[in-house]
Amino acid sequence: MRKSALTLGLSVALLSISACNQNDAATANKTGQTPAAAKAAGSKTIAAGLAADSKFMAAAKSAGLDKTLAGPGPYTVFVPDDAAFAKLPAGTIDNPSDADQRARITSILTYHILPGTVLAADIAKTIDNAKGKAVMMTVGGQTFSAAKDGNDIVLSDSAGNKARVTKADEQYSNGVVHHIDAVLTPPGPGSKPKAGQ
Amino acid sequence: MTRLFLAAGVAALAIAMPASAKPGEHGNGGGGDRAAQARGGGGHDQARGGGGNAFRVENRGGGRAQANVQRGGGFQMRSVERRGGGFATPRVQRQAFAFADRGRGHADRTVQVQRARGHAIRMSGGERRIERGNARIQRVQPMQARNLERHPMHVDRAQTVQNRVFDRERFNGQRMADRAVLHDQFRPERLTRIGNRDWDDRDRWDRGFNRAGFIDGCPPGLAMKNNGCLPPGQAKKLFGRSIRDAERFTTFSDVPLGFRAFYQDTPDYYYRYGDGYMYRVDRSNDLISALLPLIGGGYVPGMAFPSAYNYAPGYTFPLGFNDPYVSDYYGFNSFYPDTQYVDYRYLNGNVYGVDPYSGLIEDVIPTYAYGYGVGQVLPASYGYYNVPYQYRSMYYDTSDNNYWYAPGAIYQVDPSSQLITSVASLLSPGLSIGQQLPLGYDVYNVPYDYRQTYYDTPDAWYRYNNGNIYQVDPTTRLVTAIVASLLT
Repeated sequence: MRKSALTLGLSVALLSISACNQNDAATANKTGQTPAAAKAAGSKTIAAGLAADSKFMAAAKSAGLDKTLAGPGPYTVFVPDDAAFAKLPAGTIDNPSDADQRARITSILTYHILPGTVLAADIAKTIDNAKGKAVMMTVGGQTFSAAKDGNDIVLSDSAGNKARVTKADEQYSNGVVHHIDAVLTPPGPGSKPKAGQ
Repeated sequence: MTRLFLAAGVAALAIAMPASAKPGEHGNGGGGDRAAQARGGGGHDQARGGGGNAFRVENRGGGRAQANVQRGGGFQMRSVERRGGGFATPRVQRQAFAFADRGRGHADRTVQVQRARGHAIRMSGGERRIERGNARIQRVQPMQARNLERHPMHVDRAQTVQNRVFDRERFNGQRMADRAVLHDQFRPERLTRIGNRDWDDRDRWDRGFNRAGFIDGCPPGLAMKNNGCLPPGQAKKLFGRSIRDAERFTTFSDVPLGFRAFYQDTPDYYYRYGDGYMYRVDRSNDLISALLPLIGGGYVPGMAFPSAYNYAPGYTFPLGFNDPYVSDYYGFNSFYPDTQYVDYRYLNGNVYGVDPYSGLIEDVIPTYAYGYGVGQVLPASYGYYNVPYQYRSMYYDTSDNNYWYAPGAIYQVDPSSQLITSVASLLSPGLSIGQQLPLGYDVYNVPYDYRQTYYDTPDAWYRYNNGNIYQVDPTTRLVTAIVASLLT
């Protein structure tokens, strides 16, 4: 009888193991992330808040960054509107199946993302402290600058292209989104390294 | 009663098995192959029946990924895929392979004997071998035709085999043309290793030299990457296979001079080099027992960094991602600033620490950052878990996803294919205590929940970076402390 009890215990244990496996798989499949990461990101993330059919999100998806924006972050994202993407030279964010092109798209997108939560007021304050021009470090490891034009904040990339913040401080559980009216271009391999490097 | 419990136990086992077996089924192609091989040894018919399922599963799993390559006309993907079924592939195909093998083996022996007599004779031996090789191919085809009569259901596959024989001819030829320069460099050393040699790749080069239709020496659809023409994820499937089997998919050569010191043959093993990987082969059975990716196309510490790539800072690089460029482009300078003692150079997805005086490579740091990551295959030796401590509670390996850290990001990796599927988290060039606040960190960026506690004062600034909040002295701009960690 002792033996049969042992067998029963064993079978119950095995049943519960198999049940656990299925649960794990179900949770992971739904979010594509570990439950801990999904929980830390909160309910409404940047990825969920931006229109899924927008050009920015489409590009983010092609570069594998959609899960990043659904992750815990926090990030500050400057999102160019669809009209801004339309102004880019043809083929700039197209054809993501090509690895080189995907790298280009990723470098453009990461040039629009800052680490941490940066509100418009924080940028304005920094501009004032820095006597008119604040330098911002992106997660891509490159910088762009911010300045004031009246009440608006205007960003400019290394090539001098300007983008105006049209709608600021859209807050999400994993960061903040500012909408801008132009796409910033990161310094590419054709540009000269910065002085002193 | 006992029997009843026992039966229940067995039933539970049966239920539990599929769930627990799942990762292995997807992840361990090598294991499956070995099993199939063992069966093949028992008898042909048995292998066909037993392995059939495995073959089909493999096909279904990788279906979409291969479609592109097949359209591109590359034989390689298709046949590598076939190897998923390995020795369990249909009989017609197996026999064709066996014939091809035998033909090659025989020719090699001839060449070796002739080599002893002198170089001139060896060359003519090579030519003779070409003829013989062709004759073999012709003989293989009637053989296949005979088999077709017996197995009409395999018509399509047999056709594929025939095509493949020709594809391979063209394919290897062009690849060898590409490698000719490298090859000639190491030729004297190769002569000392005749005893270990399975075949002479020079002969293969002669045979197929100058045949057209390839881009960068690769068939259409297989762009030249760090690993030669081998499609993503295929190299690791060669593990556990016979070196002869693998020769159909990769062009092997002897160990390049620069690697001799690191990969010395032993009584148990010898090494072959191919497609950016070093293959360790077991002498007793000729099976590939280890696959060592040679990162960055094979530059290792102790070698001289190729001077063609060693541009001085300030050089303006031409446009185009395949051109070498300094680490500045992806912001790598933030991670790897040049110092008095070491220069950092970026090449082929790797950052090399180069001694500025001797030009020798001191350190190789593979990077998978920024776009080259997604869609790329994690080399076999980077399968270990390396996520920084503060992120470990969030990005831990599961049966569906693994995580891998490289400067700039934590990547999500599919455990079965080792393909990087997405960027789980972007990391910024980090702050460390004692360093000066870098350019670009002037702006206050502390997350909402912490703004009540950590707000800038004349005595202290607070900055968020990679999961931590740092305190900064506004006067000296030095990072003085980590005051909070958001993730642990």
